[in-house]
Amino acid sequence: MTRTHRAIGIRAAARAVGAATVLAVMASSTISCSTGSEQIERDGSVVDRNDMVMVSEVRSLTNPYEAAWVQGSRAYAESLGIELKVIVYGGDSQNALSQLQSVLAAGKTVLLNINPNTSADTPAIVRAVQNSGGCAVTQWSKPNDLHPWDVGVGWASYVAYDGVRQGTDTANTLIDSLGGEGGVIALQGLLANEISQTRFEGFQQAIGEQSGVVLLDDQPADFDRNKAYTTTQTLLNKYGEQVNGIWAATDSMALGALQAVREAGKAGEIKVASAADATPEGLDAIVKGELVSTYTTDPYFNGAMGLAICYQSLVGELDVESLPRENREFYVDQSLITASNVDQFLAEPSDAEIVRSVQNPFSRITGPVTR
Amino acid sequence: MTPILELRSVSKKFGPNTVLDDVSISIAPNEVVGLIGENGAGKSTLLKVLAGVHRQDGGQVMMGGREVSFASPTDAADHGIGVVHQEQSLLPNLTVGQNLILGHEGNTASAGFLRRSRIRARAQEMLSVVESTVDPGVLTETLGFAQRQMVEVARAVSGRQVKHPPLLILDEPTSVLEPDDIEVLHRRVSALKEHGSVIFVSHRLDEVLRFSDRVYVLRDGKVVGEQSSSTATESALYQMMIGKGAVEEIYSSERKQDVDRGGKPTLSVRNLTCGDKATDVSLDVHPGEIVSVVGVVDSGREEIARAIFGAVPIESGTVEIGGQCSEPGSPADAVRLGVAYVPAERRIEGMIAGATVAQNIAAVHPVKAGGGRVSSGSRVEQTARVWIERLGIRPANPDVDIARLSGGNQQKAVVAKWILADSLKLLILDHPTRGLDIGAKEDLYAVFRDLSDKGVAILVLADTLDEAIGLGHRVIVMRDGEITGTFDSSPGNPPSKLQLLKKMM
Amino acid sequence: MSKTEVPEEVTNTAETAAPVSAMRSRVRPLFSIAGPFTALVGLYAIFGALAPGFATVSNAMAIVEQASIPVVLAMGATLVVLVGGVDLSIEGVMAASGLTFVLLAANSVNGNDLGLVAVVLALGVGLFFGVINGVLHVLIRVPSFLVTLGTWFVGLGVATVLFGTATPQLADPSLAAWAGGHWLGLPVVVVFAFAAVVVTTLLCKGTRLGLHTYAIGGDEATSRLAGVPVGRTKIFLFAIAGLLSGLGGVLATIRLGVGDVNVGSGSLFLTLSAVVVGGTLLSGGRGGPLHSLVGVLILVVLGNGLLLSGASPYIQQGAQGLIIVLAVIVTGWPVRRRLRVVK
Repeated sequence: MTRTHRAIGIRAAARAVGAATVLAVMASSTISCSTGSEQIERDGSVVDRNDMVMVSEVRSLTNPYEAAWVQGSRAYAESLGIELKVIVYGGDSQNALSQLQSVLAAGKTVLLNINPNTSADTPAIVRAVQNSGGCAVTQWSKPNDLHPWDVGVGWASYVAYDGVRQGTDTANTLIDSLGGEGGVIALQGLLANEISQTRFEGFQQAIGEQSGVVLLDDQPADFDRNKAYTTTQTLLNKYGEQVNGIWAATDSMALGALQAVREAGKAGEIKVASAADATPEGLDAIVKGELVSTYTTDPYFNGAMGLAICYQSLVGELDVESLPRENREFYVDQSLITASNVDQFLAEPSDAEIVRSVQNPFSRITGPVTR
Repeated sequence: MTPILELRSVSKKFGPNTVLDDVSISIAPNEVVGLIGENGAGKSTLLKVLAGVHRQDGGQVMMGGREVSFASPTDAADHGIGVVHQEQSLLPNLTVGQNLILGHEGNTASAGFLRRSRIRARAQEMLSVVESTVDPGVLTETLGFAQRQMVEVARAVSGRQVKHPPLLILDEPTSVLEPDDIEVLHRRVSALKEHGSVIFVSHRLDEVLRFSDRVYVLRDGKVVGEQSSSTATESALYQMMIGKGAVEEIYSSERKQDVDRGGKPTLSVRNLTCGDKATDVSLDVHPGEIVSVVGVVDSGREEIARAIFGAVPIESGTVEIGGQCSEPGSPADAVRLGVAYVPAERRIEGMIAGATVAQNIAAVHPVKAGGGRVSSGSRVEQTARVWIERLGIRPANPDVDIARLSGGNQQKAVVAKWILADSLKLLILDHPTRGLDIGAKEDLYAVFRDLSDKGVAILVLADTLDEAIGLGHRVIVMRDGEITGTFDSSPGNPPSKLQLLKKMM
Repeated sequence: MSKTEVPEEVTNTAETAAPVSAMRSRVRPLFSIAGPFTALVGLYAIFGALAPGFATVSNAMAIVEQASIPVVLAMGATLVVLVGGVDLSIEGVMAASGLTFVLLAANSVNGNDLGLVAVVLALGVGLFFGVINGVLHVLIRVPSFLVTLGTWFVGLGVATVLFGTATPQLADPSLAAWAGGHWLGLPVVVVFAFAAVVVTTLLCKGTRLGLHTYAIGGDEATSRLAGVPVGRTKIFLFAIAGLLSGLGGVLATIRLGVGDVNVGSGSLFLTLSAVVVGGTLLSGGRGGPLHSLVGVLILVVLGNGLLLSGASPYIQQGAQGLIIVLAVIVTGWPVRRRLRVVK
């Protein structure tokens, strides 16, 4: 065969292989679709512990909030002697779904407590769990028009946090610390992020309700400490003496801003407030008087609570179908932390405390989700 | 006197091919020796053995009476052998001085730090050996060919090892030089003889005879002749190289037909001005006519050729192809009107290295080559084979990477891609036979003759005055952007080179 | 055929051309720093007019300080780009070095307190990654793009493992003081950046290694034939780049005050953009550290100016992208003729 003939032969072969691959992929996805749509009916009977696997799914473990969340999940799972799988999806939605599917396919009944990457991920996740006969609790974000009662008992609850409240409370703390007078800068998170937007909304509401403190400028800092640092540095240069206070949507940004304030020699003069997370560093800063506020949503509780709801449902202690809507979509208690109460939050809760707190997983409901 | 270099029965094989077969040559001190032979005769392999790139399989290489064996090019260089290649091997982004010392910085660097003044001094020293007045501080890419050539020679001759007199190997040094640069080179080479010896490799037999004291002729890997330059003639050398007859025949000038200048010219240029290179140029080329354009550096002839093809913007003036006005637009427009352009820099602008011969041949007129809008691979291959056959391209394999062919064969493929279209009206050739061996040149000249017979108009920027006179029906001389003379060149009454040169300077 | 007879007057024409072109080339060297510098000055002037508070001394100081760590990184990146490669591992090396540093210095997680030695060892980590990059690229012939992509993620992985479960906070007061402190009247990071620029520039312009770097970037095959030790040179350059990434990681970690796997996040884009905007060609052999310095300043001035001009944050990102494109055009304008093929 001349080289050209061979080349043509190879090209034809490649085409054939390509076509075969396409067909194979189509076939397999059809198969997986069909196994997906094949609903495993839960007949209401109790699931045995040995058939259960608990799954705690978060973005990353280097984030203090999520690290604490997983600790809460672990405490709860250990107390019941049930296996816990921790899935870390690193901010990749595809990865989140595919890792979950591997666990679902393993055969045991899955109890999922997840902090999804974006709202848009929620439908696929909850449907996958629903179809496998498991139980899921999602937190922090979901599409506005999709509700647990639309999907089924596989999606037990959706837990949210009142970002607006976080914003108003921390803003008011900042206003108080300024004696009701002065100029402030606001550092938002990511402009397109829902919790970021709600916190800022809350902040603006609080500012709007009084007239002594004025908002000089607001800039996004992308939840990034370094960006908060450089942005604050630049804004301090721009507004100079007018800046009396800085509000940031998270601890990480607040600490970045604080660094800039320190370098400008204004530590103590300019008050810095954070609207979320209560990271150990943040709490430390409050103790030292460098931050005036932060907020906690008790990650230990949330890590355990989602699993508790599912467990109680699967062993028959809880009938999801007959739960009122308020128990399927709710805001959870959260606490403003300032210098006055920071001591209460410094210590990590013990495993026993965590488990005790979720005996009634709905104990901290503060109201239905209003968005 | 012990020869500076001696090869005794050197042989080299690549796989089954014997490329050098029992080659014995000797170079005496203070001598210029020419080396000629067609491509494929083994010249480049011989040079690579001398340069330390290849190791010979059999035989000995002796320098100053002692056997040597080179482990690497640097090793050969340390023995005083310097090679100036056909392709420029200077780094364009470095200064002349930096290029001169690169790789053997020696005492210009102390503790790793370069001393500017020492570099300058050493560079000046090296340049003065070859009598070059180039400023060591300029960036190499700003120099013209001739100057770069001199820098390369200076670098090659630097004679790092004092105990070895330099042996300079010049590989096709004149193929990119204009006539007066060649003159300068000739003087420098003669001056270099006092320091060491030179091996001069070239396809231009007249230059080889001029530059060298003795000439070796290689054919098929063997030394087939050795002549003293004072007694040798070009035709005798040519005969030894390929066993063919007189030199004049390669242009097939006896085939020149009379050109009918009555009808509409294929190419009509009026008052063409491009930038600062060419001013107010007007010329006509009629169907079937071959017009050669000669000129020294900056004569503007390259600009004109490119402007006609649309590769360079036109400031003012008109270009008409076959009566139709050609907008100073793009090469694509020119191609549509039936113009073809074979550029001088084959490697950079002419061929697509990495693509096969067939792909290159089909590159400009894929529809024609592929047999339709949706080109069929086999049709392209067929077309390629036809042209490979017609032009004698070797190896006769359409699938081989064009970069692997010798220069002559590459050029044939480049030309083929333009001439396979029936719509071809005007063929512009920019130094088409630069660097090719006699056999390849002859083949190409025959092709151009055939095209001329068929009525294609040809505008050729000739490499040598001989080529211009032999090939063209008319010779146009340009200087400093203007046409200074036009000569008819009929077979019985060609213009003399002196006449042309007078108009060129 | 008779030999060519050429009258004697011909002889000097070629050489008289030499001094003329020498003058021309001195006046307008290609790839000079003039293009990017003009862009920088232009931007500064525009923002000075448009943005209140921009053209002040304290803002200028802020700009220089914000540019410092990127400059350190850009110096390393430039060396690699000059020789025709690319180093994508910056963020991973920063993370690994940063975590190493914070865990060896006095911190909140373990009992180490090595002080300056922690800095040196962290730099060693960076150097190590750089050497790996160089060796894999040179000896195993893996393209630098791929090798450094790999070490990027290896670095992040190492950092994640070192991180463990709790955020290590830097507890060494003298090292932490580098964040806001001053040496010789300048902020500490600026001193480091200045040193990095000086050392890199000296290396490129004044040493044999620098000459070899530009040669290899110009044409590797030709350089090799000329006797330049290509492999050794490349490994050395990658090693230095790794070292500088490590330094960047340490400085960024000190500024953060904590060990953070994401300490370098976004640095790769910023650094490579700065190198390109500054006029160092990705194909190698052209440009240099000073070009990249200007490139970093252009980007930092851009971000700072847009912020101060009160532009809506939604517009800022788009505007930055647009202005970067313009800056590249301005930078490349003098040489556009030569770059007939644009990839």
